[in-house]
Parts: sequence; C-alpha cells; structure tokens
Amino acid sequence: MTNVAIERRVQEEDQQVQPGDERVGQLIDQATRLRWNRRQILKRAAVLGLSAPAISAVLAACGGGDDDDEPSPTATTAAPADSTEAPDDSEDEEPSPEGDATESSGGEEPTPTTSGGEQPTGSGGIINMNTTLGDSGIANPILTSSISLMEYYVFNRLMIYDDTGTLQPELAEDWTYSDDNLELTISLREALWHDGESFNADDVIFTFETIADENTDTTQRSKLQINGEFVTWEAIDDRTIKITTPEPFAPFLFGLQDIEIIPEHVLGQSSDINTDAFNRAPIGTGPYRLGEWQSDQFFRLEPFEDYWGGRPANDGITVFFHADTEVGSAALDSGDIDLMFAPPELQPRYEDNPDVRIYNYVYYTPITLAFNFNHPILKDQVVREAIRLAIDKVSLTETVTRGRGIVANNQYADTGPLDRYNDYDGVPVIDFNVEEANRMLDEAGYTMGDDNIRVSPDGDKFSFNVITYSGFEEYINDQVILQEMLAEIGIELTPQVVDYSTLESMWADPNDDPANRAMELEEYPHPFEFDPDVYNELHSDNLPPNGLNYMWVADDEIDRLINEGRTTTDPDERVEIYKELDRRRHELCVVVPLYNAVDGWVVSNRLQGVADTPYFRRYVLYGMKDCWKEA
Amino acid sequence: MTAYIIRRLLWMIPILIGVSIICFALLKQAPGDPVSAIVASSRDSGSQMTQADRDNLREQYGLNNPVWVQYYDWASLAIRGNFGDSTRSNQPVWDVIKTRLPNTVKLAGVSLLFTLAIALPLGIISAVKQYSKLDYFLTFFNFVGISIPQFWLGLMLVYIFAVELGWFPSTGMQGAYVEDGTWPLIKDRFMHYVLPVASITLVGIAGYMRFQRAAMLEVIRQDYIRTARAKGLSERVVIFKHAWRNALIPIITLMGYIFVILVEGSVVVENIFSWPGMGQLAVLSLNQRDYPVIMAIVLLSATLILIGTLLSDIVYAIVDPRIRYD
Repeated sequence: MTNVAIERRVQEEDQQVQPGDERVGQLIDQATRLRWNRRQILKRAAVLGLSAPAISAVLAACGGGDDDDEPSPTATTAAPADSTEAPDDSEDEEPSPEGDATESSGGEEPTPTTSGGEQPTGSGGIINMNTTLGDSGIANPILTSSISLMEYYVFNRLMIYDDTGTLQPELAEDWTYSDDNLELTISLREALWHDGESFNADDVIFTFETIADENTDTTQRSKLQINGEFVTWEAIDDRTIKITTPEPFAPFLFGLQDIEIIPEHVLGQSSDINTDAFNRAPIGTGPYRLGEWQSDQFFRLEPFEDYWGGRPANDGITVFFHADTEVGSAALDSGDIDLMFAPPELQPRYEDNPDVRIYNYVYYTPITLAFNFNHPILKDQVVREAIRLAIDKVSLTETVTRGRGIVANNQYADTGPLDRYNDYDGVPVIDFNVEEANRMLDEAGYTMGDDNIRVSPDGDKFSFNVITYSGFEEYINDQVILQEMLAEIGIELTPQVVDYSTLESMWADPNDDPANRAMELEEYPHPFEFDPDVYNELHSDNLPPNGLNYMWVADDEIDRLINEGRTTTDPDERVEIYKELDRRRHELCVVVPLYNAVDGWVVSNRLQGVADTPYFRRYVLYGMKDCWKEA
Repeated sequence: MTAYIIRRLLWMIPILIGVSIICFALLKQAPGDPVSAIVASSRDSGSQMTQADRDNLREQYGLNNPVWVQYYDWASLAIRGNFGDSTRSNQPVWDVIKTRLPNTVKLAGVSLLFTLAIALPLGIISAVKQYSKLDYFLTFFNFVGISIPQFWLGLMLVYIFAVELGWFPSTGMQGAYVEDGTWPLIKDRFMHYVLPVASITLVGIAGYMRFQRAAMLEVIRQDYIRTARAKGLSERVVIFKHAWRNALIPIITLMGYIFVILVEGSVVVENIFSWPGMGQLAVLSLNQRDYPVIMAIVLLSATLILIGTLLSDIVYAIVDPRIRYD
C-alpha cells in the first residue's frame, strides 16, 4: 500500500507525522530535497489533495530548515564547463571503497530520513544478484547487446554520473573545457588493467577509433558525434587527451560518460573485434575482474585487488541470469540472491517483510499522454488544453499506482537526476475542471453530437485511439481511466495495446496515418537519463523519417530552446533554458504529464552498507562495490 | 521397405522447405524486428539510439531488403548448413544451440526416464485391477495430473521446497559456489535436478499412464489372452509376456513426439527454473526477434518430428507383423 522505505523513515524520525498517508512521506522527501519554501509546499500539497492536518505535518517536518545549509538543486550539476572538479560541490572526498558508502546523497542532504549520516563500515561476503536481460555472451562493452552489468563492474568509463546526477571521475582525473567550449582536455589517472598492464591515453583513442570503425557492431557511434559528424580526438601525451567539437555541445559529456574504455594492448591486433575471444574473457580497469562464467546461468566477479579506487569492500559479485522477475523473486525469498529490481506490481508482497527493504525511486521522466500533432483535430491547441483540463490526475495516479506514484506537472520526473530542470514556479498547476473543458470546446465550435461525442465543424468525430506498448499493466489501466474521464467532455477514446517493436516501426514510418496513433500513453519525449536534451524526439529536424520526433511536434520556439540548451555549457544558464522549455511545452500543451512511476529494488537485510540513495537505479551500477555482507 | 524409407526421406525435403517458408513469412508478419528489440533495451538502460544508429543496424542485418531477398539470402546459406549469426549474441547459431542442447537433453532425458518408469507399470496395474480401489485412486491422480498446469506445479514446488523449506535451490542448473571434489559436485547437480525433473515427471506421468491403461485394457480382452490363461499360464506370464508386449505398440506411436521433447525441452519448466536449455532459448529469441535462431529451432524441430514419425513407423512394422509398407 505504501512507499515503505519512506514511510519507515518517517516513522523512525518523526513520529508526529501520520504515516498513514504515503503522499505525506513523499512530499516531505521531495520538499526537503528540493528545499521548497512554504508556498511551494502548499502548492504541491494542494496538487496532491492533502488534508489540512497532513499539510501541517509536512510543514512541521520540513519546518524552517529549508533556507540554509545544503546545496541548491542546481549545485550538483550535470553539465560541462564548471564540472572540472566534478565531485567538488557535493562531496569533499573521493569515493573510498573501504565501506564508506556515503557518496550518494543520503549523507549530504538533510532529509528527515538519515539518522546522522554515519554509515557503519564493514567488508566481506559475496553479493548475489540477477539480471533478466539474458546472456548475450558478449562482454565487450562497446558492442551491441553487451551485458549491461559487466559494463559497469568490469569496466570503467572516463567519468560517470552517480546516483545524485553528479558527474564523478573514473579514468579521467579531471576535465576542462577551453574558454570557447570547443576543446575538452581530459587528464587521465594512473590505473591498471586486470592483466597488470597500465592504462594510458592510447586505450582511450583506441576505444574511440574502434567505435568509429564501420565494421564494429556498436550503437555507440552517435555518442561521439555532433549532428552526425564525429568530433575529433587526439592524445596530447600518455595521460592527456583532447577532444575538439565543431560547436559547443552540452550533452556531449552524457554520451562520453556512457562509453566504456577497452584495452588497446589486448584488442589492438584483433582481426575481428565483433567475435574476438575478448567477448568471453574481458579485461577491464573496473573494480571487478571476471572469475567464472557459465553461459546462461551466472557469472562470478572477483574483486580486483589493484583497482585504482581501492579494493571493493565485498569479496565479489555473482550475477545470475533469470528468466523473469518471478524467478528472481523466488531466488530472493530462498536467499539465493540478495537484491533485485522490483516493478510496482511485485512490491506489495515485500512491503511487510521484515527481512528486506525497498528502495523506491521515480523513473526519470513522467508517464505522459502525448498528442499526434499531425492529427487534424488534435493539432488544435484548444482541444489539447481541454483534454488536459478534463484529466483528474490525482485520482488517476492514486488508482493506478495504488498510492505509489507522484502526480506530474512538469517535463521531467519530480525527483531524481533531471528535476532541477523543471520550472516548478513558472508552470502552473492545472486544476481538474470538466466544466471549463467543455466550455472551451463548445466555444471553439466543437458541438456535442446526439451520441455524446463531439464533432468538428468539418464533421469529424472526436473519436481517437490511445496507443501504448505492452508489458505494463499500469499503462493499460491508465488507458481505461482516461477513456472514462475524456468521455465527460465528449471524446470517445479507444485504448490500443501493441508491443514495443510494433510501436517502434510505426514511429519510423513517415506515412503513418495520424489516426493510427492519435494519442500515445508512454514516456514521451524521452530525455537522456542524466541530460535534459530532447533533440531526438522533440526538434523539428527529427521529423520522420529523418528522426524520432514521431509525434510531429514542430515549434520554432521549442527548436530554439533545444538548440540553445545543447550549445550552452554553463550549467546554471542551462537550467534556465530548460525551465523556459518546460514553460513553452506547457503553453503549447505538447503532452499532458500524468504521473511519475515509482520503481524500486528489493534489498535483503543481509546486504549491508547500502547508502540511503535517492536513485537506486543508478546506485546499483555505481555503489555496489561499497556494500558488504555479514558472514 | 527400403524403397519406402527412401521415399519418406525424399519427401522431407519439400516439407522442410515449406516449413521454412511459412515460418519465415510468419516471423516477418509479426511486428518488430531484432533492431526494435535492441532499441527497447537500450531505452530501458537510460540511453537512446538515434535514427542513424537504427538505420545502420538494419542495414547490417539486411533488414532493408525485400522479404523474398532476405529469405533467399537465408536459405542459400542454410542449405549449406550455415544458419547465420544470432542477432542477440553475434555468435553463429549452431554455437548458441550447441551450448544449450546438452542441458535440455539431460533434463528431458532424466524426466522422461522417470516418467516412463513410473507411468507404464502404474498404467498396467490400473488396467489389470480395473475398478479396484487402486484403479480409482490412480485414475483420480491421473485427472489431477492432467488438470494441473505445469507452470503452476513448478511454481508451487519452488515455493514449498525451495522458498519455505529451503531443501533445494530455486533456479539454475548448477550452484555458483561448489566446494572442490567429486562428491560436492554430484550433490550440487543432483539437488538442482530434483525440482525441475519433478515438475515435468508429475505432469507427464498422468498422460502416459492413461495411455498405457487404455492400451492394456484393450489387449487383455483379446482372445489370445484368454487362450494363454486357458493354457494354464501363470497370470504373471500372461500379463508381462503376452499382454504388455502388445500393449506397448501404441506407445511406439508416441516416439516421434518423445524425440522432440528431448531436444526442445519444456518451455515452461525451463523458464520457471531458469534452466539454460532450448526451451528458454526459444522464448528469449522470440522476445528479441532473433530471426536466425528461431528459424534454426523451428527447422530442427520439424526435422526431428519427421525423423521421429518415420522411425516409429518403421518400428511399428517390425513389432507388428500385420503392418506392411509397400
């Protein structure tokens, strides 16, 4: 029923807040993290429909403490330029793997959740976990279909976003942009490959060259490209590389931090990198080296004693290949694994289980109702706005997510790595108002027919399909509820569920009839996980078949802001640009943000040293090396 | 007989070509392709693939060609035994199948052995002692066994014996932390076999037992059984020497089917127990639209069914002198 992790914290820390209403806990968490003032809290509380006693409980819990002491949401920055000493503004020490797991935000932000910040330390134990993505047999991280967890545990990147959205150094010790933001100079740290060879600039250059090579089976190329053209790179010396971009390009670092570095001394002579034996015997610079790998069953990782960041606190990680989360759930219950991803439908069965804890987080972009801008009726802004007014988001969210979701009003998720780019002040909260919606449609000349379905002056019926992709029961329930809500304003909605592949092929088809996809219920437009750029899905350069702006949104102002956001490297300026984009998106009613879905990981109490992280999705890739298990 | 076998073997060629065309067409008819599956998982991991990335991959997999060109390309290699590379793992299809086939043969083989060893005797007893309490009990057990869906039984076994009692591991074919030595190794493998074998066997028994009972009932009413009894043979000899041998003939018709089970495995059980076999591979490949692997699996099954039915027809003719192929 409730968000256990938060509720538990609330109970522990602040007994006077009734934990009965999970929204209270969520709001406290959110308000504290974002340093909201009283007015903002009240506004959000109103959106959530909280009762007066609940609101005062929230104010009491957040009371006073929100004007001092902690970094502003814009201080931990994801953009380049100022990120030369990436961890500087959130952290005063290098992540030390000796059990000090506080590099995530848990220790640094005075949420009512932590009891003093000091994490106990310890070491040992082998962590067991699973993946449901299957064993592709490919360990080389730059190849298509490589095994995702190996990319993070066996290899390093130059830098990596941590679970607070802060860029942390890995193989790059630091990085600086030239004054014109066209040259990125990266100095590399001393590190050893798992076979004992030293890492140097040649490895980075080799990695880039391999990715650029047409014969390499990789999907990483676009990460080294700006507008379809490769950037240029050169090694200045053994420990320095320089990347030159044709224009300032802010999302570049997101791409760069997603590229794992592979060893030149091992793969340099390879005749075919796609099938090289390296695929089964990877050598990286990461905290773990591959021990045993039983195809389709499991792989065992052992701590790399000479890891540049220090030996991991535990004695290894074993990852089992499970067919699905049900299999994983049985393995977790019988103690065979220590943690697993738990989709919302799986969480209730763990909420009263004293042996586990649930780490919830919101997916980084909200679930939205998106409109096809090519549709003859939906291209009328009045219709889109009326639909927005007619949706009771609060009750939709409550019903569908069983109290877990958080109502969305802005372009990105309300907590997590992108929320600093939301303009909470500038984007008004829309109050659910069916009468007003009907009035608007009447006024615009869309008359109600005898069958209670409106018709346009051209005689077109207000009968639309809303399409979503299969796999999420939640989305299907959303469709049904929206169908009922929009019937109130004379719109006949036909839910349709297709599998993701089908949807993807419809997107790419420039001749797709807008009536086939009048509306979509999904997460459109997708930003990058740690970068707000939505060029691929919202810029008019990318209308099909050139790109993936499959809802056909073409607006000069949006284009201008997206361009500006991509070419501006100052993090604070960037925040302002994306806030403006948030306002413009709202004004145009590009989509209706519905709610933020809450995912989670279930973690056994056997696993210790897990930081109180706001974003476990990332923590599991980044922080596992600091966790341990009691013998 | 030889001419008959040769004729049957030659017939397999057009049948297999037909199967491959139908399968290929169906796969192409199904929405999506390997690239869209890769797109979905990349989106899931917080990254994005641009349209250019997707176009490149489609070009690489030859997905932009007309369907008949794609079939021709596939078939011209397949006829030489090259089924291409898996799009999910970049490895040759046979390598992918080679690592999984033995796992399925082991699981299915052990299960089949247990199934037959238990089901056939029980079926005979049930028939010989028709309408006895034992017969009623076994018949009841039969209907329960036939009615229980395999996935439910598997999940229950996991829940009771792995999660609650902790006697057996819940998933996998082998443990990740086995002590050195032969004995711990054997114990580890044994423990991993128990639950999956039980799920297949318990459901399998029901079907075979029913089949054997019906066949046996028919035989023991024959005149030659009465004759055998009249000769004063012991009941034991009558049942096992005269009746059972004849009652086994219908079981032979199941042989073609058994062949396929051995190779294709149980899709349901392999997925519940994360058993790395062919059944699991089939599901994974379908989800990922791994065309080359799916085609290979379908053709393999088709071939085995054809060979299996041929074998059972031949054996039929051998054990039953009344049957002649000319």
